Amino acid sequence: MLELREVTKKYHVMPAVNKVSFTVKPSEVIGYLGPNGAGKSTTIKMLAGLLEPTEGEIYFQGEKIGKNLFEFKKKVGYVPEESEIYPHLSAYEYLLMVGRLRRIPDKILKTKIVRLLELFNLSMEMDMAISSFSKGMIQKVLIASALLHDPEILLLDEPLSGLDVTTSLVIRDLVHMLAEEGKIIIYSSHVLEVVEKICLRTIIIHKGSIVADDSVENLRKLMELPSLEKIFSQLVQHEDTHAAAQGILEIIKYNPTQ
Amino acid sequence: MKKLHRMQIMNLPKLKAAPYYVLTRHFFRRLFQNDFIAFEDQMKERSIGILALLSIICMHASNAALIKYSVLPDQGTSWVEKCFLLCLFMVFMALVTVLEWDVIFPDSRDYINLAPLPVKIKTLFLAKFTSLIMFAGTFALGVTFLSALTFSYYLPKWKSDSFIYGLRFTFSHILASLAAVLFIFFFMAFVIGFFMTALGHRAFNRISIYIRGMLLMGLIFIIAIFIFNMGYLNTAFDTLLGKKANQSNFLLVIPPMWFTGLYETLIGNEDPIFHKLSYYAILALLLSISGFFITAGLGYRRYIKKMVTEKIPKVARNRVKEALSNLFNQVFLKNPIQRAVYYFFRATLKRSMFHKMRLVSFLAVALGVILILMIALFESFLIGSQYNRTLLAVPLILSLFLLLGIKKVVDIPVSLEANWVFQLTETEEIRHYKAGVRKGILTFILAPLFVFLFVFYFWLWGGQASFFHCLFGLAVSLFLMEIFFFKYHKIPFTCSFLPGKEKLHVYWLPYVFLLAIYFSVFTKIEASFFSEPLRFYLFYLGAIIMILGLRMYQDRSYYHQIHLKFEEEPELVMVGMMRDN
Repeated sequence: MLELREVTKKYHVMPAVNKVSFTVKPSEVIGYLGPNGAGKSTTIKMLAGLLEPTEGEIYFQGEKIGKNLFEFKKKVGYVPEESEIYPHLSAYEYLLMVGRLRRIPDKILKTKIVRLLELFNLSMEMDMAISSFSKGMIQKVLIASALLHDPEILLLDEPLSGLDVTTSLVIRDLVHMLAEEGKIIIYSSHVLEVVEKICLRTIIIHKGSIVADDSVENLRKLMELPSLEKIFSQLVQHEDTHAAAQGILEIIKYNPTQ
Repeated sequence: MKKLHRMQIMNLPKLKAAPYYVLTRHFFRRLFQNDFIAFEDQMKERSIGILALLSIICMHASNAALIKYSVLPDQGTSWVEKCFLLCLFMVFMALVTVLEWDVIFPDSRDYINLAPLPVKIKTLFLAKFTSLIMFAGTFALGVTFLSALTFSYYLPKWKSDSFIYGLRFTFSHILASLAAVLFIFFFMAFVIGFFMTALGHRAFNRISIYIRGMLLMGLIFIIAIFIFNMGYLNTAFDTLLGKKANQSNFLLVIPPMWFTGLYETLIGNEDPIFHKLSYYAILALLLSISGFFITAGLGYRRYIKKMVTEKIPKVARNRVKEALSNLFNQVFLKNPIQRAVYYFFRATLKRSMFHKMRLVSFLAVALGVILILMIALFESFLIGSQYNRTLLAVPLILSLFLLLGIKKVVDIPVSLEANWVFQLTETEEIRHYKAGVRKGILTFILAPLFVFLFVFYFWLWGGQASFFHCLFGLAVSLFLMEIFFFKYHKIPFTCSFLPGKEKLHVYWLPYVFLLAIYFSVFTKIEASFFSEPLRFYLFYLGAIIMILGLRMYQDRSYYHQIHLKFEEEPELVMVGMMRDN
């Protein structure tokens, strides 16, 4: 079980994440939602052990993760939001490096990499430099690197970004299968339809604090709204979207000389 | 209506000129961010610092060359000193051009960003040309400004006391120097463009580093001669007087002489040889600029467009190579973390031009130092025995500079934002990360160097002496590597970088002093060992014990209690200032 207790992360003085608490059980897929800058990626980075919380604690199986961070990191697979990856390496070299850092024996690792890249339709490009890859191809490499060591916890930050429809469907099914195997999965995204389909439970974060934490079904009933999109709009969206679009249109056409 | 019409007329040229100005500014700034230099922060301050340094060096050189004219009248021979100094200015500019090698022509980044915009190719090239003129002009001014004062102080008084003549002289000095410097800049740009066009981008990329490295080495060597052996050069330049007296055509093939001719013509010298040379100077300048434009235009489509649209070819898998690599891994890199770090080190060093060029610059300095020693101690060098301290110092100089270079290079990150993968997979076995770095340096830097040196000394001294000598150098280098990487707990190329920690500008004298002691002590020790080779074995044993001792100390008392470092900490005074703010 993965548990966050009153976790806060401050950048300078401003809290990006403010006293966030929730628990994720094995086989659970959590949808972590929020608008831009809500604190989703910061939470995920703290869960991955890449950032240290300013306050509060994260527990895994009843133990503070900070107590043995190295052991905890071995159990985590992480797909970051930005496609930050070494562009001078090939996909094969990158995955080989990640696998070795995860201490996977070379024989097993090489087979895994070749098979994974084949399944992601990257076998033709696996020896090409990542700098020549499209965003979707990079995303596939990142997903493969997060899965190489069969992690217990999977942290997915916008995992479908840039992916084609077929691969998105594959990932969606894969997430279900991994959950059935008892993995803990936190799925952070802007795409509400996907979250609605993949996750049974949804956490909505706004300005660093949790504003909703329940199953999509319960949220619908509680708020008497037909879809997750409407719930999301109700909870975090306080601006008039039509007026904002109108404003943008006016700026595009701005020309005082005419 | 009238008002609106006037406004439209006023705005029209502005709108047309805007992309040109914006692009010129953009290209000018790009000249400060290349494979060698990354001046994104404090660009102005750093550039001013470099220009000031160049100005002072050139003024000092001018003063040294012309001081005799404070007492001796110029009897029409000062053109030799002018040629000498123009040659120095041109060498400086050539060095700058080599440093700017990769940003002289618009590159793929420019193409990707500018191609979708409605910018004409003509505007793009004009902007690039203007930015280069501004850049070269700025350096030319830096090089000539203070030296113009020295020239004007020593020389015009022997011809005329008139203020107007003095002014003309200064103006001529600046103009001739500017022309010489611009010529060399555009000539070298033309050469780069020519190779780029003729070879195609893939072949050019492959050989570019070698050409650049050789040029760098040659130029550093020439500058070192100018600084340390000016007397020798003065004598060489004095022979030009005889050549002129004999009306030798040799003068016509020396580029600094063309611009000396221009200089003399501008100050009113009626000698026909100078007129001829000045004609050559103008022609050379025009040809170099035209050459630049032609190669830039030809290369643009052939090089840039191809580079962006062409797919990068796959690296063919070679089964024999893979089997050998597996064997190597099993014997030499048993630990997977070591393997990961080792291959990351290799891939980055192999593919990052920025890091490669930085390392090449250290090698160039080392070779420059060796060449200077060879010239300074030419007589003893010719003897070439095992007791020759210059010959004994060669491996020490090369390995020291390469180790200094690699220490510097691994501290400069590559795609820093991608280092999360190392943070995510960090383990407590820090010593294995270090071992990966150590093995990388050994196989990619030290082993090739000493294999090459072994062959060289084998040819010179025979097998046994070469073996003893190279093993001696290797033992010293391995010990130095342990010192340089003592308590190193980073993964190469993954930690943020704060430049200037070595404070070269403050401590250069102690560094030079330490270098001299290092070479002197070790060559003396080695020379004494050759008379009794048994001592070599004792030395190797001692070196092994010391290296292992250092490793054991770090493994047992340091590496188990620390984490990998991904962020360089600023010095305490900086931390204090940050807090104050």
